[in-house]
Amino acid sequence: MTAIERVARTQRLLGGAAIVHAIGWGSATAFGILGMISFAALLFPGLEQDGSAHFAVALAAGAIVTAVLLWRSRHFSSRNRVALWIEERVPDLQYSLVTAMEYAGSPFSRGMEARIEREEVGRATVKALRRTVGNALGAFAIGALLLYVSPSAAFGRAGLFPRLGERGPGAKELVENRLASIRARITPPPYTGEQAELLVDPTSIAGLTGSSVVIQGDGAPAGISAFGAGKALRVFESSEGWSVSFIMPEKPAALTLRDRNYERIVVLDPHADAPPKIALVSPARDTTLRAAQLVIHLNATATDDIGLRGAYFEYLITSGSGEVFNARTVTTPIVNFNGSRRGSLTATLDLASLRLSQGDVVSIRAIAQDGNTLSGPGTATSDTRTFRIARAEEYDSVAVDAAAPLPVDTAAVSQRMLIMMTEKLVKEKKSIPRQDLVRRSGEIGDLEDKVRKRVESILYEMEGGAEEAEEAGTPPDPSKTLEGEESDQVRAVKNPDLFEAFNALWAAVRSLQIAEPDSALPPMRVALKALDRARLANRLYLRGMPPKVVVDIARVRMSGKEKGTASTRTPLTPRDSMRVNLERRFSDAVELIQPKPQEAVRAFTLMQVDALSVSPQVATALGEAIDAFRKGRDATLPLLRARRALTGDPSGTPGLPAWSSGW
Amino acid sequence: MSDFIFCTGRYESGDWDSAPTLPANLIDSVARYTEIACAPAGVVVPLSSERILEYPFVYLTGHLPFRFTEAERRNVRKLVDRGGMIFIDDHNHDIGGVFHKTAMEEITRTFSAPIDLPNTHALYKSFFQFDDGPPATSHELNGWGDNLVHKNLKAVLRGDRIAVLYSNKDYSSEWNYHPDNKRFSTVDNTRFGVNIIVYALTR
Repeated sequence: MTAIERVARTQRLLGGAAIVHAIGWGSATAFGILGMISFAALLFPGLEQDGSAHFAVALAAGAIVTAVLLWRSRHFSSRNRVALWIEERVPDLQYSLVTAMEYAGSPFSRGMEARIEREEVGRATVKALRRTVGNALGAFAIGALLLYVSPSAAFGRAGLFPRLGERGPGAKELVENRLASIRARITPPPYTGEQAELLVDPTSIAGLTGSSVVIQGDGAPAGISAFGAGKALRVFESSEGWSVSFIMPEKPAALTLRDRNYERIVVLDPHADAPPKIALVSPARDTTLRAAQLVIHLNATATDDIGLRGAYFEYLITSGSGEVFNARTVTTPIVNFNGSRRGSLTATLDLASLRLSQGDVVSIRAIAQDGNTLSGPGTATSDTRTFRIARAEEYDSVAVDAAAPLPVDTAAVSQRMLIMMTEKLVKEKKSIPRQDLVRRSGEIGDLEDKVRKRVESILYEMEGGAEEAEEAGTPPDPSKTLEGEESDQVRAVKNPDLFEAFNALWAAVRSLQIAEPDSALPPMRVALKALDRARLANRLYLRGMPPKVVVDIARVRMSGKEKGTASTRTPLTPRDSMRVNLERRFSDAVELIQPKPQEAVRAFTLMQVDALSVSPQVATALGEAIDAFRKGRDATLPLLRARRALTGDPSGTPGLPAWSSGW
Repeated sequence: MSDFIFCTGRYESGDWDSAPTLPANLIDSVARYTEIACAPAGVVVPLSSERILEYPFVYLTGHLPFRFTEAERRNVRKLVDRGGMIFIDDHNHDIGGVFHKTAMEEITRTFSAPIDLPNTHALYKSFFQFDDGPPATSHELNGWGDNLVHKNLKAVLRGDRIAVLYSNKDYSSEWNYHPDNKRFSTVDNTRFGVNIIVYALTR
């Protein structure tokens, strides 16, 4: 065997060893990843959901490792490099192999060949490769073993190595689909007092939100995964096989069960505990009373879909007017209905006991609560009935239009201005000549006198007492007005604030007109406070149709200057987008019936989940269609009903349509 | 497209008409500053009537307990579901007052619990720019009512759109004057009302 032949043989061995090394470590990497995910799935059940993705990750990692190792071993393709590799491991060759390769026609080639012949190149090669190949095969074996002993059948014995898995517990059952026959037990919440319900092989599960649901099937739990309402569910081993338990969610959802490549979707159709309803039967209408002397018989009826806990009446008593209102709430004792679905509530309310005054309003309503201890209690309130005690003034003037604020408002503002003017004058008093002081004080006094006359006119003008007061030149004596209620000055006495203001204004005018602004200020301030009190006391809120103010748009726009800048408009979302989406999905699913019936059933099942909240008719029809598919029956009619419910009835055109074009 | 008609909602339980000149004032402002075609007078429509659904913007106010009847509740829900907007203003400007307590209860019951509307919301930029959020009213600054300057309005949102806007600032008192008196103001205090209406009509 020549030197070149030896190198070629070694080159083949090195190539084979490099491939075995790369594939061995690559496979070990992939198996190791799959095995570790399988173990991790014990802690995180969600990892089992997408086995194909994990397989792809493991395969990619294995391929990368293989490729890297092959790249690192790429030099075996060069014979010179292989010869040097041999020289490195057999130093006794003393580069005779490399020299013989390079100088094949050398006169020393025979000697070099003889030298090479004496050395055991093959043994050295095998010795060098034994460890590398052995490590790779060992890693491969460890990875395979890890995968074999991993708990998840999706990756382990029942998945990649089903034959080996036959020795494990429950392996026999894995041959069949463990999701083919399932049972569901729905236990309503304890407060409902209802019995548990057992469904055999259901396609959808309807139940009260918060119910406990247990799904059971035959066989061991290994390899079965469950996913519902946005989270992974743990599969347990039970006496009858495997089981999954969960609480019925608030919204419709799909429960996805998987057993290796088998999948089954069950629709969860929850219905919420509706809040109770209560109606106030008596009193039937709102009432306005002259006096708070009435005994009201209250009667209300309450209903609930599951059971009522209790109900009571609530009275809200509102007193006050203008800007100041006080309210107090009184409730009757709760009447217990002990979980019955219908109840009646009666009470008697004596308005006299509430110590009502004129203008007070009593609002009455009934409130019921159901026995929902999970998300409730649900509360219902009835319509409100009001009982109002009329004010005495309402009988004098029944139909009144809202008027502008009292003129005293403007007087109060003027008074504030006059005080400021007087204060300024007091400050400047020492620095201005006496003549100016007299003149300015007199001017303020004249203005103050106008305010006084305005207040006077409000006080007495309508009562006819102004002239008498003016003639006398003195303010009227309130003690005299108290002597008889029929007096013309009753109004003045009934408005002591205005009267106080009037008196103070008199004093202020006198001081100002004799150029004594200092002594005018105290009565001016007293007048201001009194006017403020009178203004607040007379602030009225009148009921009835407000006066019609018609805006002259054209005139307003002629005077408009500032245009402003409107921001861009955001279009609203179409209201029926969900229904349109369902229509599209329905058409797509129908297309799948012939080529891929299983995928069609899956699509219809997921549609049913969404349809439960959009259109119950569609959901019902889809449920029947899915049932028909599962049992091998004709699903045409339920599918037609579903399409009709989605798209509406076809519209008929009476007679022939009109011509849309000429002859 | 029909003209914008300012609609005041009439409800059974309280003094719905306590700000009678506010509609005309806001109509005047909308006409003054915008090019929105608007009717020269507002309308008063009972909330219990289906006619309320013809109006995209409904204004409610009052001092007294605020409660919907079943028919009113049904209609305002429909109105909001159909893209309408309701503006409720507490005429008491008092969070301890009966209107506030009962209105919050009623809004929560009918729609959902209102949230504090951020002062960076599009409402404050829909026409005029209000960098500090809702403008304060003279009633707040005078210390009347609850003696508070309310920093935020409250709102019930549908998506990112305001469905129900609730105010404790007593704009009903602030804007309740005849529009002809606007010429005496150096700054028109109804400009925020324009923002509310433009927002309601364009979102």
